[in-house]
Amino acid sequence: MNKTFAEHWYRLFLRAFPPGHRAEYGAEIIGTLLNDASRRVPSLRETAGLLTAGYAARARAATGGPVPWWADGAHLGLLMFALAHMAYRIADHASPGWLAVSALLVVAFLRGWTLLALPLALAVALSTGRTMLWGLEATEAKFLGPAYHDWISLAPYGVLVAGAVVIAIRRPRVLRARSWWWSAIPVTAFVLVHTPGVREYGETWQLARAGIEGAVLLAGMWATAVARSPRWALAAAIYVLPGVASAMVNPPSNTQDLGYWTALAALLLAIAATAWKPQPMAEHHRPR
Amino acid sequence: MVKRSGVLSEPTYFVLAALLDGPVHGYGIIKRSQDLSGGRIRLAVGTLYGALDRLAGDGLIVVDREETVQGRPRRYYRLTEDGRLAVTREALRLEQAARVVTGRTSLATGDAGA
Repeated sequence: MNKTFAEHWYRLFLRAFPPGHRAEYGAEIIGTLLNDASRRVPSLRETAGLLTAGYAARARAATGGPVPWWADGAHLGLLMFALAHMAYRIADHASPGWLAVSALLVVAFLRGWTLLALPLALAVALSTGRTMLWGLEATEAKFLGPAYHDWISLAPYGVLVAGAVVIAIRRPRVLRARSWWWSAIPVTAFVLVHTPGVREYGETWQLARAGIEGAVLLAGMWATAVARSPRWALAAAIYVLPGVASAMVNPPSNTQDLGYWTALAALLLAIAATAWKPQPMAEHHRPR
Repeated sequence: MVKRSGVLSEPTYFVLAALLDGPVHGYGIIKRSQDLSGGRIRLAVGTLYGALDRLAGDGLIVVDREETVQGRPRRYYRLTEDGRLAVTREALRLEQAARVVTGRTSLATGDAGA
């Protein structure tokens, strides 16, 4: 191992920072990292420092854009729900056409295309609620994906439509495009569903779901602690609250499900509490 | 909404304190803040530059000059008046807080009290 390897290594992890920060400080950070002549091999501590500081810089950069916190938070919450919806449709082996609609909804939210997201969100909600709206005969249209049979289970879809309307009628309508890394969630669902021995909605599926949701919510809590913006709390509320409401109306039949919803609700509360906690001076710019 | 407590975090305090004697570059700030804190503050490089970016954004430090060393840029940072004021105010606050304990007669005399 030599300094060249160390430099390559650090440059790789420097990508954790947003492009603007890399342009401003990237060369200087590498220079400082390689300043210590005794440091021939990459330091794990410095590598972790790059990752955590990079993520923190991204969280702060998210609060610096022109989009108000509530629109950005609603956008993120709706994207998370669209991703979960698509993962479920993959597990349901929905028709290719309906999967394409779900995927298009995800892309519309990923790119911030609000005018495309609105009709797609409406189509997804109406399709999922068709039994409640038009009766049992409507359930027969299998190519439209599954239909729910009680209003409380449809609550997340009501939030989806309401949120899509709000961000579509807001002026200016611009939302920021989000990372394509989010598409790793439906890809993971696809891989899981097609892995031999893994049953749809089985134990592995539920563990993966809880793990991903927990990781995303913890990342949201950390971003909130760093940037002190309520946007991640709003996103988490949009994603978690309708499900918690459903679990309260129809209490889970086993302790595993009860623990799952309790954990999600606790994480949501923790994010909200973090957003309102005082912080040291010079650790943030004003909340946006 | 979010409240500001007006207190500097310990790493931020020592980063600003490292600049009290004049402009210092990034590596120098890491070493000096470690020395000043008795080895307690060991800033990772990524963390330091995140802090420098925020401090510059808050107007507490500015870039004094830039030079190139072995083909790499090296910037020297210095305190602004606001930065000097912030670190001084924090030092006075800490001193006042310390006096609450160190100024007690019982501590000075070694009398633990009843």
